[in-house]
Amino acid sequence: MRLVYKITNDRLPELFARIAEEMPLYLPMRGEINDGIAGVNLTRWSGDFASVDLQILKTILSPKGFFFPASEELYKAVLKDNTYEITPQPLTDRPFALFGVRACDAAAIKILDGVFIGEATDEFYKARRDASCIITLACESLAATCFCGMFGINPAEPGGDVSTWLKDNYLYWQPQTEKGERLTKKLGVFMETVEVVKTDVEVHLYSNEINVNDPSGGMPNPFTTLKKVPDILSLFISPAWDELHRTCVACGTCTFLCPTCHCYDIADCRRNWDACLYPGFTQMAHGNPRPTKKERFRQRYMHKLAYHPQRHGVVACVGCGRCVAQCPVNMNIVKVAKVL
Amino acid sequence: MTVPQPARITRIHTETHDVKTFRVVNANGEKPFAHLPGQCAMLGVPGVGEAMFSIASSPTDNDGFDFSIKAVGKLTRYLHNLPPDSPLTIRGPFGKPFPVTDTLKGKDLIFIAGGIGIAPLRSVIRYVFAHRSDYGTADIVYGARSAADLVYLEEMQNEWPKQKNTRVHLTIDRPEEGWDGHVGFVPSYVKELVPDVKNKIALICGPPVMIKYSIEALLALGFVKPQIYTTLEMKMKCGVGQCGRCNIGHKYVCTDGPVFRADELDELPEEY
Ligand SMILES: Cc1cc2nc3c(=O)[nH]c(=O)nc-3n(C[C@H](O)[C@H](O)[C@H](O)COP(=O)(O)OP(=O)(O)OC[C@H]3O[C@@H](n4cnc5c(N)ncnc54)[C@H](O)[C@@H]3O)c2cc1C
Ligand code: SF4
Ligand code: SF4
Ligand code: FES
Repeated sequence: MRLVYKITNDRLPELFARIAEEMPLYLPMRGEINDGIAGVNLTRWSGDFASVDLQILKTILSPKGFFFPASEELYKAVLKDNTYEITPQPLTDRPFALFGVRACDAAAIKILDGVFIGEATDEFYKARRDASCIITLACESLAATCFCGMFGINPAEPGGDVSTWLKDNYLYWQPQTEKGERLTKKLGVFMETVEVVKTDVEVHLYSNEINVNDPSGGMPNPFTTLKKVPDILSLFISPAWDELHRTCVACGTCTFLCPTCHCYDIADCRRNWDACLYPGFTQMAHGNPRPTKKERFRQRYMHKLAYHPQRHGVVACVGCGRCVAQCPVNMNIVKVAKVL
Repeated sequence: MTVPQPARITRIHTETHDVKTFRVVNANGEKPFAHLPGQCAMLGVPGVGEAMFSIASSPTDNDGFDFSIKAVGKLTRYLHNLPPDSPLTIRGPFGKPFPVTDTLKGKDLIFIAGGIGIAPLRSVIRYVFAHRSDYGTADIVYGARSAADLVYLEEMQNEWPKQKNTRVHLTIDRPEEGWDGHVGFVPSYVKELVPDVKNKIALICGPPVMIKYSIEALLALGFVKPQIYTTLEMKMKCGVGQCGRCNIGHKYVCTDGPVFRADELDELPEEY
């Protein structure tokens, strides 16, 4: 049995300030994201409650950059006495909290964990994961571009280290992990003053109100049928790819915004996000095994829908819909899955 | 595994007009880490580049790692212009080795290589020589575009044939003056040699087309796929199955390969 704390909405600024006293807190805030373009991203709490947006379902960028930054220096190499002196960047040990992470993005972090803390452990990623406390926020309604339910993700039970629900003038706060319990305890005095709801049952605040499993309106779930495709090789040679890739302009937007895409480049002691849609990605001296956009486009979707499930047992998509919302030519994984 | 250690070149041997063999040690003048034949390492020059190379020396060689490197691009050309005693970085070992400690033991071996593909096989060959009684016969079929492109030529002509039960079969693509050896592509030479299939394991390494036709040649000679090992090459950055670059289907060449048994390739899309 885990306690559920009830916090009245007018005390939310106090809650955020209190968390921020313990550790840097990032939460969805409206602001300028690039050259005068406004948007909502997970941003460091500054006390400006008016800019906090707890309604937004999809921040422009997913939380992946907190663990796997778009560009990071891994080490320094300095030539000294005819030897490269190599100093790895120190591992993050400073705790931080993310508030308002949605169920899809929380599920995506687990998928990234499978890659970076799997067969081999990436110490940089792991240190940041260990230092993080993820406070999720349940979704009361879905956007037209959401399809997390197709992957068995319940947006009303978002997981994380602490789950929260906004309902009837209250924020319900329920620790889910040891880390979540510790944070809750740290908030100490403040938490003791909020109303504690003791419950044996899980919080099912609004799971009944959302039809999570049928966002496609009665259409068969293309992802479950794909997972059952016994023959990945026949999917690979499907003539559908000849047409599917045509509209894609290989901008890479979908890969950078995707919370589960993890491909990277290493250059000059730095690690940078990279995209399988770019021609240089697999270019070698004797040629390129993916010579045209068709093969590169196929790689992105085969990776998500077939190879990742084969290797890690889970589709590398959580239905966040960022690619659906942001692709400049309106190509997306749902379209691809439906055709296949 | 993404952060390298300092290393140093101790010796440079010019093999051909575009291949040099570099001996590399760590900051203490020792081998940088333990490895098995077939495994690779990332060599780097900060500010220039980093790339994957097969460790061409055997674990039984103690003076450092040998890398035989063909000048094809930015890093490799830079390396070719370095003098001995130049500093580098190294990380590894990466990948699965050839099964030298189990499957290959007691077997007759046929090594089939083209061009720079001989580098990883040299590691196995030297390992086999160092444990000669653990293995049966060794036939080395090696080809290159021209005589001037044959890597390790001195070693192959002067040292290897002196080993017990060992034969070296060299070939070049086109006839040329001063060459009295075999002329023709490697796969067809393999067919002409009609190697005995019984108790045999074949190890193939070279350009993708050569691998493909060599496997076909062996199958035509009565080999079955589980008797054939080969290595694949894809662009690599991380070496640990995370950067998502070197996959063929759901396999990552950096961790599941570069050594594959021929029947394992049947499960993969043909994209290499
Ligand atoms: C497992 C494995 C083992 C290997 N073992 C060996 C070995 O033992 N010996 C050996 O010599 N090699 C080996 N290689 C190959 C070696 O890794 C490459 O030759 C090396 O990466 C080349 O690096 P570079 O910086 O010199 O070339 P790069 O400068 O990276 O260029 C390579 C080629 O790709 C082209 N290119 C690069 N980037 C782009 C781009 N963005 N767009 C278009 N074209 C581009 C260049 O024009 C050039 O033709 C191995 C590779 C693997 C995967
Ligand atoms: S966002 Fe759209 S156009 Fe851009 S790479 Fe992805 S699928 Fe192609
Ligand atoms: S593929 Fe698209 S919908 Fe799926 S997780 Fe990535 S961005 Fe979200
Ligand atoms: S080199 Fe990064 S996945 Fe293989």
